[in-house]
Amino acid sequence: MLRRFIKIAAFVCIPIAGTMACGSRGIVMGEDTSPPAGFVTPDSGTSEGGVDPAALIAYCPSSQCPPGWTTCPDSRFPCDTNVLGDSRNCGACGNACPENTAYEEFVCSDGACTMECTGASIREKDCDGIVENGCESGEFDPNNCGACGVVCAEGERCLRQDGPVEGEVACGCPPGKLDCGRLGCVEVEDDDSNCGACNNACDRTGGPDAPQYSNVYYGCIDRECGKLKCHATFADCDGTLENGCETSTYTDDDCGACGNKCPAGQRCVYLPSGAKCMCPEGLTFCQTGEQGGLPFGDCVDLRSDRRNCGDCGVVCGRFGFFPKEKQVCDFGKCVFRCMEGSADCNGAQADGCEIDTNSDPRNCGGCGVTCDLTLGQACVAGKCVVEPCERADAGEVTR
Amino acid sequence: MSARRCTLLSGAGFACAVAASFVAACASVDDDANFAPEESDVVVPERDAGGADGVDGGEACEGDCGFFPVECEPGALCPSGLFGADPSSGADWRTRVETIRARSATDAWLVGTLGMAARFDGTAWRTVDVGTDVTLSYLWLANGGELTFGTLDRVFTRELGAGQGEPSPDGWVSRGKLTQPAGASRNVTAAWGRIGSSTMWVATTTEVWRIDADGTTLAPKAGVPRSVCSSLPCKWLRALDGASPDVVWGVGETGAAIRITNADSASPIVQVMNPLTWATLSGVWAVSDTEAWAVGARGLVVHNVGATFGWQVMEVPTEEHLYAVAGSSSSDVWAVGDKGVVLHYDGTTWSRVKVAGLGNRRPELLSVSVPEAGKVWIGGEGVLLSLGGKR
Repeated sequence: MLRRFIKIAAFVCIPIAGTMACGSRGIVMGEDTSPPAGFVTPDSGTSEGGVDPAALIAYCPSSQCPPGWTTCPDSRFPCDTNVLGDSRNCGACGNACPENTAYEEFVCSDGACTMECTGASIREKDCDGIVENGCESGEFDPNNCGACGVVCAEGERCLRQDGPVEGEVACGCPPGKLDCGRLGCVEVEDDDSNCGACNNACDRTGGPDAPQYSNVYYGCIDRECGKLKCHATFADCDGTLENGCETSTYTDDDCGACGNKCPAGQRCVYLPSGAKCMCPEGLTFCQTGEQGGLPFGDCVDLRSDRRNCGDCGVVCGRFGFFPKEKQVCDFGKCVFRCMEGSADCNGAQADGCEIDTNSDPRNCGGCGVTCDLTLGQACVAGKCVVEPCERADAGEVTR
Repeated sequence: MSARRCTLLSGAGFACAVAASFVAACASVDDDANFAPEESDVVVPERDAGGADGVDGGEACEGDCGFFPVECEPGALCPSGLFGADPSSGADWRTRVETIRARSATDAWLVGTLGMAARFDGTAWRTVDVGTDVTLSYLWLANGGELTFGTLDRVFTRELGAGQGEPSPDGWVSRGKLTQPAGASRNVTAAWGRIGSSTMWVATTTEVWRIDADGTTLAPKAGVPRSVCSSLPCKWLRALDGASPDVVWGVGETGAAIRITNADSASPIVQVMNPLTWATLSGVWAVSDTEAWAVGARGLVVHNVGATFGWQVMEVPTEEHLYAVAGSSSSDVWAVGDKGVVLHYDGTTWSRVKVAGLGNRRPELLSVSVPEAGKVWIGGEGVLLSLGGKR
């Protein structure tokens, strides 16, 4: 019956004067929002595709809230609270979900509070399913290493596989790496501080009798100390031991490596991982400092970079928390976009997307779209609420 | 003369003879436009341009398509170069033309995002190499040269003095970072200089100051200090304009509307006005020292004739945000805004003007320049338009 009701309702708007876009404005009390299957085939009251006027249902503005919506004591607009999804009024007015923490986020789902972990390293997982102790399992939890239920063997720690800040978390270390008591596995093949073993630091002078060369020190290669290595930013490009590491790799001709000449339009810049020719075609170098005589900064896309929009240092955004708007860099210009359910009706940056188009009956679904304020018609989910009229001529509206 | 005028307009679908009100409208435009036979290419846009009969091809028209014909026609705004008819040719459609300024109908400039710059030399718009790919938002056609910038960290000039490094192929030089007066903000919200003047006004988030250009140097100079703008609405201005050196009009956030008098002196005076709105005003055009038009959010158009509390809210046929306004006289005013909206005031009524050749696009229109009656350039997101497609 409900299905048929919707199908017919969809037809209703056709013969009524089109002051409102059919099917786009009203929300119907108790409406099934699933697609009306078989819509194209009227199933009753018709003859040869026509509509039986007696079967049409007229709709009137309604001040009643649809199921799941209500007006709470602190409501700003009628029916503006969705008790099925509002974490401040979850299930009922005033029934607030617990406050979010740095580790746990509480959301209202179908009228019940549920917890989600934010993924913060210290407490990233809820493995025991107990809400009271929150997200109790940390990133390096040996009983839940990398995922709930992954238990490390006796004496084995849960570690990052590619060093202290990078890589997947897993039990123990892969071949060639050692657990040196830190957060991550340590590569000991060429590490001057952990050469072949944890904490085995090489003597950079090579010992009292070792010959010294320009920009050269003694370090670790293949798990052995005492091997000649160039200082960072230098290289032995001519292969001659006597002049040491004679070539700076912080130049446009030898950028990062011997003979790596920066192409036209690019320059050698400093990166934490070493010098590199920058920038690739289409990107602009925005310098933020200098390191070792080289410019330091980033290659950015001025067309879309929110921190360098249209020019270096032009940051899209403003001070404060504006949850209803999103600042974007749109082909070199900072613009703000309103999130769904809000709108900027006064054009002011100061208050951003100041209008709640989901609930404001004066701006229902868009700026200036007004519900029937005299009758107290509510705006729900951006649509003015309607219900079947009690009398056929009781101020029906299109929907 | 009158018959000639009506012939022109009816040719554009305007039924002068049908209604008395329309006849009156025809008469009102006559005072300003020249309809002499040899100069009959001046065509004033018809009223109610978006009627169903304005649809090309005779197909059913829904929504706003009546305002957006496929082909250029008299009285409509039409593509005028720089951007191609499809995305594969011309400037990138995502580029915004931010500002258009004109010394005359044959000498105009525009700037836009990501280094967009172009000049109209009386024949066609041609892109200009300013020597940068950064966004250029503000443009000043000064005495003897031009100045443009997006942020004060990179200011570019042409024929206003030497810069850093070699000039671009089109003669622009980088002037590097321009220092603001002591204590003033660098966060620019609007900048404007009268055509051919030696002073540009810079509105910021905290005050209004000036840049003096003598042909060689650029010198920042105080305008209305922060101490004044902390209590008067002269911070966060969105637009400035003036018709003489003595008076500058400014509009901005939360219905800010000011008139700066003694503008050419060392101590300009801020006169606060009430434009009857809290909405943002984004564009202003000064007809004279005592008359101005301003436009803003949700189709707001206000008109002031010299009185502090004399703003009048006009009825206009749009609720879209409007961003810029300009004209050639009190009875030839143009306003542009969101979703391809162009409005024209003929001295009596604001009416919507058709925009041709946009296909399904409804771009933001951000700038308008009217160097003389019948000569209109409008720029925006991926578009440069002119009245009747004339160049």
